[in-house]
Amino acid sequence: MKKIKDERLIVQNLKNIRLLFAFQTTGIVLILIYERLQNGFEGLSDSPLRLLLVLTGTLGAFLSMPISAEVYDSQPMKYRTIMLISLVAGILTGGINYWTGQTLAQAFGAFSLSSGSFFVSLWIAKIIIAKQRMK
Amino acid sequence: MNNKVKLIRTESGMNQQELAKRAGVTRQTISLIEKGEYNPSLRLCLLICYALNKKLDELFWIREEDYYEKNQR
Repeated sequence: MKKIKDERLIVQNLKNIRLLFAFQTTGIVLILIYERLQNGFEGLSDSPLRLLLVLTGTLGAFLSMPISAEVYDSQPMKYRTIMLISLVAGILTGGINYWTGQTLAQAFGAFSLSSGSFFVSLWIAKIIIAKQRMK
Repeated sequence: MNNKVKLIRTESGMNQQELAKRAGVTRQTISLIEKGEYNPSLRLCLLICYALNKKLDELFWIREEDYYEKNQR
């Protein structure tokens, strides 16, 4: 097979990948819903698919950080600062999960150690960015 | 966006396939560019100009008045 060099087709390919990604994510979410209904929270937190979903979300948040419109009036928080805050929050959550034997985390929906940390750091980053955009 | 690719291409006696081969794209892309349905990148614009031996403004230039007139409609 020849490598595609036509720029129009390359863009078309990327658009297809976007569609594929949406399809795949929908599939993963549906499988997780099924897992939840069949095996409860236990089955859900054991599923590697859930970790995959959370990791994809985290990666997406970090990748979208440098992509921003110039909408800030004041100086925005630096990318590195947001990363650091998220990281600290993630480590803290991980630590809390570890020391409390995950009881605290389980109260919030049965997080496993690693995915709980990722989940929290993802949301911290998202909240900071959303707040800055609203300014 | 409108352009003069088709006009200049037929003037120089080239068909879409030949132009596509010289510019390194598919014939369909050339067709879409000529119809104004696909906006090529600057890089592809240059490759088409080289293939037709013309300058950028001879193929793709739109006068400012025409541009705004088209976009207001």
